[in-house]
Amino acid sequence: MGTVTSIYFFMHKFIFLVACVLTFQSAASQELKVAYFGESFTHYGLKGGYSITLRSVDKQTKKGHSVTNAVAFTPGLAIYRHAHNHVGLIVMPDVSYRRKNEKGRIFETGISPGLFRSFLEGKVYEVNEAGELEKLTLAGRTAFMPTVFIGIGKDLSVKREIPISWYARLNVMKQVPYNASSLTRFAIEFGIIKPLIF
Amino acid sequence: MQKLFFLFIIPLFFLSCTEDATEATDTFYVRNDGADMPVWVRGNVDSGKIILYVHGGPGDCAMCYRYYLKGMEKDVAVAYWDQRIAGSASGNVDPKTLNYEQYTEDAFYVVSLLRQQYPGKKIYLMGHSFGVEVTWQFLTTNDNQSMVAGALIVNGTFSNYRWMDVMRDWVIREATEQNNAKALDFAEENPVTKENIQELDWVGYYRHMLDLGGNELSLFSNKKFLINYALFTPNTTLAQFSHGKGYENYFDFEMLNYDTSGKLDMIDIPVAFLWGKKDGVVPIEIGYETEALLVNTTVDWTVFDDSWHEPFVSENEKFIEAALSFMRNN
Repeated sequence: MGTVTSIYFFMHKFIFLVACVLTFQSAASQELKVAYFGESFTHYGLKGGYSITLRSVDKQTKKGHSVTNAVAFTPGLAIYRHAHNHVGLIVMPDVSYRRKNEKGRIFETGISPGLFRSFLEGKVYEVNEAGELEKLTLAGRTAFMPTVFIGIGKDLSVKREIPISWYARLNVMKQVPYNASSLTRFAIEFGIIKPLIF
Repeated sequence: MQKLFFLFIIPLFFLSCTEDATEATDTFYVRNDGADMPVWVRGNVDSGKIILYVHGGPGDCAMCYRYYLKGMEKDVAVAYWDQRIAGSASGNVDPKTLNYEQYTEDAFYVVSLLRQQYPGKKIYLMGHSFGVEVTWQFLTTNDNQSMVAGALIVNGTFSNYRWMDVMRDWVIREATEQNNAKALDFAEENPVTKENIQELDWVGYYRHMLDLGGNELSLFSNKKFLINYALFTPNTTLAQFSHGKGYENYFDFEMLNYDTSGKLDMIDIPVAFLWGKKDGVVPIEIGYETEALLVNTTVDWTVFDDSWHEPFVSENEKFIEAALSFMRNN
């Protein structure tokens, strides 16, 4: 099985599994996420996501503080531009563990079996079978992009009654295949989370 | 915490906008045998002259050296080509294609593309280090030399057997001067012959050469270059460190068989040598040997007395002027 075929097979399974879980979720625990997405920090972009809390548990710590532990699924889409190189599009179905304390401080970590598509920024010419240069449109590559991430944030509704949270997050992404092997990419996110109340 | 957040995020937004400020003319990609290789053309195309920079390595990058070669762009255009799996080239590449035949084919299509896009313009190859090997291979294959107006050769070899033999001489000379018994013992225990070249511990020679000061200048000691390289150029920074394994077959077998000495007599286009005199990586004696083999053309020499392997870094202005002067005269 080719790499790209394996990627599609894996993604299909993953989406099916998540869809099954979502069927049982209430609409009350959903959020919208919008963020600056900086691949290699300065390759600017945007990311949007729709977060659904799959499971949430409130508990007391040994010191008597209350914390909320939650597992969330956030299908998202990031787009960025690496100037004079490519525009990247990443489908990121994040699964995350989130912990929020009574002051509204958030810690988050998770994984995402992402799917990456690049669009080369420039005129692309392919050498065809006749040995001639043939112009291509929207040329790029598709790759698997598994991601792990860690982040912090703050729920501003706790102290200030502002119904949003801000968050910052570091993504470590592996693009497979890339050239003769794979490529590790880093990206930062700075964004806001807006709870959806139905 | 919030103050820290905004202090960090706002400068990043501004940084993200200050992308590589170029007088961009064109960006092309050549897709060949699994590789998507960028060719950035910058500078004065109206001059009628384009230098195609053939970078070293293998595995180095072209656009990252724009920092040092930009001085030429006012007078001529420079085409920066990242070879397969190097620099910011991407794709899905079989490591078996990392051989001279493939590099020559890639170079052929890059030159063909430049000729197609800029009809009537003169194209010059500027090979540096490994790029010199690709340049010689290209020029001595079929009638390729008729596609270009000249070649600028910067600290590179025509034969890897000769390279190793000359480097051994360099190591012995420097080790004697510096009283380095370890390096001398190594050279004595590891003679270089045509017959043993495949088994030769060339990495050992390379290490001793560096220890003896064969390339004192590090690109990465220039912090401005480093920041520009990492954050504001089209390079895919971390890709530089991801492709090492791909070259295993090249370094173990392919490289050591390289030899164009029997073909250099077919070259009749103008050639310039720009050589860092203190270089231990590819010592200047290789340049003299190459010149002797170029019997059907003349060589325009510029020696950089205070330079090692990258004269365009250490004596930038002199380098730019020498390159432009060659192109003005040819």
